[in-house]
Amino acid sequence: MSSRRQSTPGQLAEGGLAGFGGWDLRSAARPSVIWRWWPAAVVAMACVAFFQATRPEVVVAASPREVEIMARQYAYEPHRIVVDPGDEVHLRLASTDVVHGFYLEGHDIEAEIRPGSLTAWARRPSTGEDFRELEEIVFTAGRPGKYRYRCSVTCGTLHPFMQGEMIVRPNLLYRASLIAACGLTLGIFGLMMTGALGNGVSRATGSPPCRRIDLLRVLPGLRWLVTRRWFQFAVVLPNLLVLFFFVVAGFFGSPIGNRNIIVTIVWILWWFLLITVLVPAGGRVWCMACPVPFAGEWLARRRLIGVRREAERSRSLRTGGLNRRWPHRLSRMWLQNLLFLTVCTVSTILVTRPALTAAVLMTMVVAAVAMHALYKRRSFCRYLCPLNAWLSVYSMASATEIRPRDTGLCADCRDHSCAGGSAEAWGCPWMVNPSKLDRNNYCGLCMECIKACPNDNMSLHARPVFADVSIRRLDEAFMALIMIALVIAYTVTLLGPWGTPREWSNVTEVGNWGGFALHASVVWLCALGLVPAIWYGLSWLAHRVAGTSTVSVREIFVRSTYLLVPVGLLAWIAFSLPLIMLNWTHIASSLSDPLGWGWDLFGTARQHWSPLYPEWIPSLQAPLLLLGLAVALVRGHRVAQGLFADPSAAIRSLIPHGLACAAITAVMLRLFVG
Amino acid sequence: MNSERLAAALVILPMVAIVTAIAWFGWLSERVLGAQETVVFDLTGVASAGVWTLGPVNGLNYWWRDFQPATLQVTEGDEVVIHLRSADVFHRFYLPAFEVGPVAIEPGHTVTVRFTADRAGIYQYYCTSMCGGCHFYMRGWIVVSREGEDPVQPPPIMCTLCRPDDLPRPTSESLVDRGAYLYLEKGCVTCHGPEGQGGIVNHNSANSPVPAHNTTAEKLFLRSPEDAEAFIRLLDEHDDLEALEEPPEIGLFPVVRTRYENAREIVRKGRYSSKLDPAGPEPPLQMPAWQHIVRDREIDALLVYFVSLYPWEEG
Amino acid sequence: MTRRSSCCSASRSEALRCLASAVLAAAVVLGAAPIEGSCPGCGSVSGTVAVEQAYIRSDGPKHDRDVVVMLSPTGAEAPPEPAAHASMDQRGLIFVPHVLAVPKGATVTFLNSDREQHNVYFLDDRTGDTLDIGTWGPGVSVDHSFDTPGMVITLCKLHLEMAAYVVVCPSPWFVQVAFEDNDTPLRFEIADVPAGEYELTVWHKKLKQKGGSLTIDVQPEKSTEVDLVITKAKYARAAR
Repeated sequence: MSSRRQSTPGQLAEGGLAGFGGWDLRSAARPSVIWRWWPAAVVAMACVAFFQATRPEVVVAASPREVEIMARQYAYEPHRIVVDPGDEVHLRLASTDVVHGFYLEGHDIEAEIRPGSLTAWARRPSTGEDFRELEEIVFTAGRPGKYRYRCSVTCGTLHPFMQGEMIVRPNLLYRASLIAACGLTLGIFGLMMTGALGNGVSRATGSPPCRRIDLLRVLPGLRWLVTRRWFQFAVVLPNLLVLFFFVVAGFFGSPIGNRNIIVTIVWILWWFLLITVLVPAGGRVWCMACPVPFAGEWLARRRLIGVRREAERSRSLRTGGLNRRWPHRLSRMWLQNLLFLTVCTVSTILVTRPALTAAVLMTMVVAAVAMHALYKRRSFCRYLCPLNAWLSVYSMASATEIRPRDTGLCADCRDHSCAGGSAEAWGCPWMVNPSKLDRNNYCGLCMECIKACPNDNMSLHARPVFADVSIRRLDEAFMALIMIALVIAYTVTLLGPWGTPREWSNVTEVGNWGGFALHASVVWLCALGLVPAIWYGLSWLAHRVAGTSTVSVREIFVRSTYLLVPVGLLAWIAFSLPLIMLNWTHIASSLSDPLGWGWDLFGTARQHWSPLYPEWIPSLQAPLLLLGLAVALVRGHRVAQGLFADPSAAIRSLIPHGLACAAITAVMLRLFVG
Repeated sequence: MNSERLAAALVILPMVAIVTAIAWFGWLSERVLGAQETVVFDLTGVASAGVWTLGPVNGLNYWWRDFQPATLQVTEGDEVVIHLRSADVFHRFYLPAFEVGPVAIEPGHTVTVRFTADRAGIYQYYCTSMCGGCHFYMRGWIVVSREGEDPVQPPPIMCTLCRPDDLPRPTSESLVDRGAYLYLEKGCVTCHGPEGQGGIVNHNSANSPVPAHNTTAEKLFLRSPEDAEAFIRLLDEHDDLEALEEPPEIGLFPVVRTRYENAREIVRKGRYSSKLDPAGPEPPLQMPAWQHIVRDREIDALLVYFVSLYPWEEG
Repeated sequence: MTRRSSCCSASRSEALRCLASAVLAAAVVLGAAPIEGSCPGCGSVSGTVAVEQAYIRSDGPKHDRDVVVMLSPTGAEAPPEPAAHASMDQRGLIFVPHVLAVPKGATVTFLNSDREQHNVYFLDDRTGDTLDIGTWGPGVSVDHSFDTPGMVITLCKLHLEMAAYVVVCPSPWFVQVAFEDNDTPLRFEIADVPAGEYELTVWHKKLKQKGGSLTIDVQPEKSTEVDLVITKAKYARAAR
């Protein structure tokens, strides 16, 4: 076993060096010092990963292990226990404030911890038996891996995030995935160098030529559907009614987050679907269905279904709003980046307080109305909606797109109804020129251009994921960087075993404003300062190792942030996975009792909390993170090829950012699996 | 234009329907089938305010948490129905006088209890599952008055912690002052009475009323004010009486130390209060094990505070 | 289930001593039993106990009505009375009786009639030594024999408010009486006291015998009359 573990990285390192050996160094235009040392850097990183993987963990106690775990709102002390497989663990549980639960993944143990009592009430949840009073819980540690223990009794606002972790040594999955991350990095760089990967990129667009399926041709029913004038209304209407119901529930339903439908559906189900299904499959398809701008758009258009061209030219609030242009200075996503960051700073409170969620949604609806009254078209969505910024960046990954079928036809077209509107369709509400669409970022998939085009030249295509590879602007680049900082911050705060960050971020309950300020400034500094600074430093390094001065550091900086799209998206998916696997019973019970008033519409209101295969979560997260790394490197290669004519310079320029992506993956692996 | 009207109707009518459905269904689920003289209360436990409160607790008003403790007024012979809810954490409702509960109130679930108020009087109901800092204040009155009588209005039990004016910070760092503060802060006062005077009735307990604390000096075998003062000073200066280099000037010091350790163990491990009538309900007030909630030094502070409360008589 | 921890279970030497004393006790009992009640050549001691400059609470949870009057022969030591047996209950979180007077060598059974755990430990008021005889649950009893004359405070470490007094008298000639109210002097009588010189001591939880213990001479077939006064320690000392 151990010999195999030792040999793996060695082999991989050799493979990497072999690839490097086959590479003609002298063909590089200006081999710099750094360039000469990069293999050493890669080997050093592999060594670090290897030692990290094989490092013995801290020994806790001899078997049988006596462990005393103290529960408080919202963490356990100790937050991490390390045991060996087959150890007999004697567990004593105590609570210092309110009744807490204790559910140990993979060991069929559930307990209720009552404060002021020296015993715990435990049971084996798989048997459905009643809780029995026990002085200590005795169990045998199972197979190696990471198991979390989490609260199973609603214990306050942040209850769903209260958890600790038990490691059964050796954590093979963690070690294997670290080694795999190194192997992937080396392997993909090796493939690039041997030329087996990614040739034939068009330099003009930076987009790889890849197969696309014209969905509207393949599915004629779909074409009929999306060209109906009532199509978007029909999609939005259910969401609108649901939103309305949720806001009522948020204000007048139970104050307990996991018992109020607004929190369970929006922050568990919707968020999960958005990040794992809607964005990867449909890009900004949510924008098509989003009910938030509905009222504003109705006000501006004075139509729910039909088209009224005068509304586009209105200069009065009475006839369809003032239709002003949004100030040019604010037309980048900086404002949205900051708004998004603000929302995320308070998100711990936001996602656990039904009334706050309802208030924020209502604020967005009101802001949309105001924006539609003052500014043109969907100015709110494009320039103010906090979600827009990250949707625009991550929608580049999606498997669908709206594009002109034949760009030549568009070049000759004098009609421009796709952008300006016609009797059948509104001009592009997103204020893009559909005929020149070459990436998904600002296309809200509203289907108006498909309706508008007199030549039937606009269509919906299916395509490989992560097909758009060009981040072009600094604000977009920052969004990708912010999302990386945030996924780490969220994972630490909400899914980490540590209580302090949770306590700091939960300021309205705890009242520790100093801690909250610290938490907020760390998040802001990392998202806007540290992470971009590191990335810029790496870009400078890339500039140096590429050895050609045709591309500026800034250009490399902006373009290379595309690597963070797959890494970030997959990390967000890995983050969202446990949300649904752990909390699906909350969805089931709140569907039956949406307001938490004691209803039971479908008989599931009293369903006991039981997570879905929680012990498998790390095993699912690790491959997702590795997939993100692999895609980042492969697509990053295309980005680099788009920047540098010289293939070897392109690969060299990728090294710093590629390694950074591997490092981010390692950090995420540590948080999720380690 | 017709399609526009239809669309608008599709937007507005379902919205009205949603509100109506919520209101109607809410009313339906609250309705209680029973005798005409049934009295229905909605009681929601709010841990963060330390109250059982009447009326709705929802996302909106929970933000401010300005809830009043509920006094339930009923007439003798009424059949009473209480819908119990929790607004935050796990509670346990207990009305020992009518043998209602203790019933677990899980957050998000509604539990309905019913009983007949067959004896006039003023009784207390409690939360008997520790639910945070305000737990010990989380109790209220049920007033059962006779037909035609003016109902009594007992003063509501307010949580001192939630009204910082009632809980002045200790004026000095001395152990006694800290103990006096902790006595209020940890809620000891609600069962052991103001200034440790005891006298709080513990329904059907073999040991009712709850033991007083102003006689602690006696229980610790501190036999004179001088001894008591020396003991207070001693604990103020040392946190480990085992490690003293020379025995202090306190009569029977080994005994005092043993008693002090016993007292500390009782606070740490809690104390079970048994039933007076074995067929009757469980006593509502049980001394919790404070071991994991209060630090040993804080127990010291409480004990010296109790010692300082002893009314030393003349001679 | 009864846990017995009488003196016989402690160690071998103690067991031997115990056996010896049991034989002796049997002899004493056998010899004394037929003539009990009509002890030839015995006298009696009787009298009153009054309270001065103090107040006795004769009822309520904090009463201190119990008084023990005991005689101790000044010459030879009185024979132990190991057959003597008494019991003390813990009921309703109170030791019953509050004051238990036993002769030296007597065995006391400590019961638990409550529905919760109780502990018993003894505190020697003079030395400050403590002896914990254990913690036990409802229905269980534990025996303990008292061999040294003196007063032992009985305590429960689980319930600090519980306290009782075991007064171990140096001889079988003692009587335990209780005040009915503060003002009425208490009458006592100790019968069947062999003639001789005795030291008479009054024990009370708080108050002391005015003038300290006194020596009396018991005449055969005669009743010796003594009038005793108990008062606060400082007045008792002053009178000496």
